[in-house]
Amino acid sequence: MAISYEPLNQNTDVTTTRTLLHEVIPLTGTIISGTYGTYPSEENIKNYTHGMFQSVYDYPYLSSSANHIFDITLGYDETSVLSGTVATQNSKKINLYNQFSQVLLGYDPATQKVEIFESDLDITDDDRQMKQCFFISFARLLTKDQIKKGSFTLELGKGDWLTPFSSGSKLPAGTARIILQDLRANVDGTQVASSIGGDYGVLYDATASANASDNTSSHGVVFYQAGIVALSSSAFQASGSNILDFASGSNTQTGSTAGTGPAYTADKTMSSASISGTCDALRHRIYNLSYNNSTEINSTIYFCRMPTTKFNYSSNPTYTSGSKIVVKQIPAEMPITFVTTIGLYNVNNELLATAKLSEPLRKDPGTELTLRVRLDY
Amino acid sequence: MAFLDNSGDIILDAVLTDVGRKRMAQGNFKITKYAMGDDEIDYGTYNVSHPSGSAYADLEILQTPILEAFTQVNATINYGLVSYSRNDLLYLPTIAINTKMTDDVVFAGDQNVIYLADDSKYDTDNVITGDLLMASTRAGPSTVLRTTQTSTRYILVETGINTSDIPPTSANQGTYILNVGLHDRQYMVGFDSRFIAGVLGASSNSTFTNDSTSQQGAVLSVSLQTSRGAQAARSISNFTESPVNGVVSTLYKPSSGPDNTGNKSNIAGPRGTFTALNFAIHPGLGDADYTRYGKTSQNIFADGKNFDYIDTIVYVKGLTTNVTIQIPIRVTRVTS
Repeated sequence: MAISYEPLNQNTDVTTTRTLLHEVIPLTGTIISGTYGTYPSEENIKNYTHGMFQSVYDYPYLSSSANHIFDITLGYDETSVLSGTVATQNSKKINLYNQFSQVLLGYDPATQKVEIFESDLDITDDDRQMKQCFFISFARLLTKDQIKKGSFTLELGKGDWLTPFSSGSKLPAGTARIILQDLRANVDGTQVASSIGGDYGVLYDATASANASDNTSSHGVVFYQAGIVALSSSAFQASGSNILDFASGSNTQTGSTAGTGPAYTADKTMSSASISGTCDALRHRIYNLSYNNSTEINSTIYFCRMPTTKFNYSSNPTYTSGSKIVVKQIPAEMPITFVTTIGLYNVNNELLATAKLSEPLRKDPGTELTLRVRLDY
Repeated sequence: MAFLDNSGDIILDAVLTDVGRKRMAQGNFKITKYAMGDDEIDYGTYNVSHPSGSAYADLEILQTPILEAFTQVNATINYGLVSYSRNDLLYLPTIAINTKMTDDVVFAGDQNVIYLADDSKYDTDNVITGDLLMASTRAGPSTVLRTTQTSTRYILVETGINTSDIPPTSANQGTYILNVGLHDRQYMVGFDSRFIAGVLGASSNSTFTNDSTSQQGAVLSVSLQTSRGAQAARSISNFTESPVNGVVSTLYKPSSGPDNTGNKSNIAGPRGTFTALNFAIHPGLGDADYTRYGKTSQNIFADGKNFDYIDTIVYVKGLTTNVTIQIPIRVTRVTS
């Protein structure tokens, strides 16, 4: 019999469970802009020659220690007021909008065109349309299976270009930052809509007056499984007719938003500046970003039973001395063994998994043990 | 691997093995059985005469630190816990290589190695490797196997209760071995298939019994046959396992007179089964293999004869009792 194998009854000795594991992912704005170099030339920001998006790392990206956090890009629908031949990278911005739209929302069956993002849960009502959006796509490394519903927070600065997180002269005191949250989304699926890109919730302005209507306080949507935020440029509009200087415009048309010059609104920047330049401006205004990720763990639990009549002897070479069992002095004494390891085998006796106890467990005919081995997938 | 934290609750650290991950990738991962191991335990530290009483006998064992789980299948359960229906067993069989029979029986000599001679190789005088090695001035006849030879020259492996407390009578063989199912009807021989092509084991009509006249001596009659059913070992890379017969030994203490059978067997008490082994050198073993895995042109016996050799280990395991022995083999060929 060599090693004594015991069969697992697939009905009584094996069970499966499903667990959701959550981790908090806090990203401070200083990591996104300001820590690794002088804005906008930061070592943890990777721009590409194609200029379609910008990648943000948690450390200078040339280091092997760097982890990819998220990508930023932007786009607008071809019917947007920003669309036009004079706009910088116009076709690329339209293509990017269409790409995100067709992946996350799909096509409008009536028009056979891609859907327009909306900052509400009803994609068919054509209300609250977001025809120009920033897109923040989080890396799988952080998002894991999905963003936990109701946990997303994005805090943005609305102040002057040089001091985006201060009220300055244009904003009422205490309104320099906008906190966007998926306030109403619940893990049970309420206040969440579904599309071909998965579930999504609306990002509301958590700093708005309690009386503010939904229609004026929603500025984007977060797609939980896709790990993508579509952020409306409306988040950077002040109340009333005030226009915020989203970016400093001296260099915007050549791709940089650094320096001084005439103020550009968010929309103007999205139109006139390059994609990477606009991404720089958005990064400059991210104060905090946090969410909880979710990992779905499917576990199989094997109940390895050691009944009284089993596993009472060992083939360990030290178990005998001159053929005599060393843990017994007379035949009437109970044999004793000490378990340290559990091996799980397939039908061909191939060892597929192994489990170790943190300390030896005594086994004798007077005891019965059940060891619960959980394998997570 | 680090030790597991044993300061608090008992925890289980579980991992998939290399094979498990491979099977998962292939889509045929299905666990159907389990086994228990105790490889870290040194039962010699079980102190039956602990000064504080028997409750403390297992104190040291229970404090044994346990390593984290390995993913290599060969480092997990090498021996394992076994189940026997009776709780009153005081003796379990052990395994030994017979070093007491003469003539055809081969065992490791002073160099702690058994030579496996490649008789297809000659020296400059046209003397084959086996004949050169068997010279008493070299390895000597008792330590030389000759590849594929089926009638003579074999390793004799015995199992049984190796204690002088119990006489090796037929009755005791029944009581302590046969009636409690502790005899190995088959042995599994594991060998490195890069060097050894196959195993020759004892045929079922082999005998190891008393001398028919005096009863004091022993008569060994062995014929070897090629083992069938070899398959890749599941626990060691490059190894193949091949089953060979185990034959019940009928070498008993004589019914009268002194018992001298101990001069013929390495099992002092009731004997279980035995088998005999020889090996076939892999026909493709060439110069590059000797260079890579062994040593070449070695003047082993300091007499001017040069040999190439590769050292390897053969594992022999009783399939019932799980008793295991390792045999060092030196695959050898003469070069000049």
